[in-house]
Amino acid sequence: MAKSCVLVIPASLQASANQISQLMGWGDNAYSVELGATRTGAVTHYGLRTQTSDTFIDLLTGPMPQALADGGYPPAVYDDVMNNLAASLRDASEAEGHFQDAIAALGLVVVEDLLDE
Amino acid sequence: MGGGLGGRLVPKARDRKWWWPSDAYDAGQKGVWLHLQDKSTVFQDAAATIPADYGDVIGCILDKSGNGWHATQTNEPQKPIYTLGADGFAYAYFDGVDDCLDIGVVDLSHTSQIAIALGMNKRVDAQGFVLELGNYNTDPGSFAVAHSLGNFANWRTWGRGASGSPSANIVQSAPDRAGFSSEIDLAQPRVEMVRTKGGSATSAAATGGGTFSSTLNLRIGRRNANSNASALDLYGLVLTDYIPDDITKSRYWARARAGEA
Repeated sequence: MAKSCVLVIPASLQASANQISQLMGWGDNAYSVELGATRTGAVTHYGLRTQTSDTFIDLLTGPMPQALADGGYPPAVYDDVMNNLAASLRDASEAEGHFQDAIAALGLVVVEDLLDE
Repeated sequence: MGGGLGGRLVPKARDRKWWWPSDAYDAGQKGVWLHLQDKSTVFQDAAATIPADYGDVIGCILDKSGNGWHATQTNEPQKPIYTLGADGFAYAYFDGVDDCLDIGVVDLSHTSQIAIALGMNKRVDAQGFVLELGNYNTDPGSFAVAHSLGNFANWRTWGRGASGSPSANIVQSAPDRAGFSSEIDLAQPRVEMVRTKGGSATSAAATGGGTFSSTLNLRIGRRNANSNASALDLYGLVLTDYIPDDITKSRYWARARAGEA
């Protein structure tokens, strides 16, 4: 069953989270949406939304993936990222609005200019 | 990229009686032609080695214009979803969060004119960018197509010349599924946007002249600065480095691809 997945990481851990994503083959800038307490304020977190499967939850709750261990990735850094990662999963058919709901539950909004009307 | 991607993928005009986007590039004109109903051009990976089926992520849409300006994405979370609607029309679903496709640097510095035809649907009225070359707000020789600015129910096209950035604005609430055309001439100056279902706007405000850039990235679905993602369904796109004598042909092609009711 396809799932809609939202992940949010504190800004201080964005580089590490992106590094893990890259080593897992998901690209080098997975966490790219700037988030903060206000739309025009400081960026405190970064987020992403993606389509995934039921088994993805195993990755989020399980031990460090073997691919990272084999590559010598520091377990302490991995644990730091995972301990500070906020995750939300929904059925993919309910993807519309999922990201906004998930970040609102964390007290966050997307940081971006509200362009002219 | 997979083999044979540089060739033209459809018959030339002399084989048909009706207009087809390949006609727009018959003389080697620059541009981009994306056709989501042509499943053979949609892939899960940016290298175009794994064909995409409906429900899969999109890592590459091949450019059918012959210019090799393919639209790609290497970050998994930012890949749109290849979707077949209940009415049989295929499209790329951009989630309005982070999904986007990069065509890369496109050199349009030989021209002051471009025309864009788009078959598309905005699902909600939250501000989002359909296309942006560079940064429309600061880069000379840039352009953008966006919607729902400031959560206002509209569509807008900008063209930025050496100094000014006039825009054409059509008011229309989401959801809005239709064919569109935008024409930009930085030398005239003129920016026009037309919606097939009805609605058009033209601006002749100063651009400062000049041509389009040779160094800017063309992105679909989100601004180049990683902001303003669009909750967009994209059915087809035809971009040319000139304004055709009759742009209704490409706009009606886009309209038909979008299954405009």
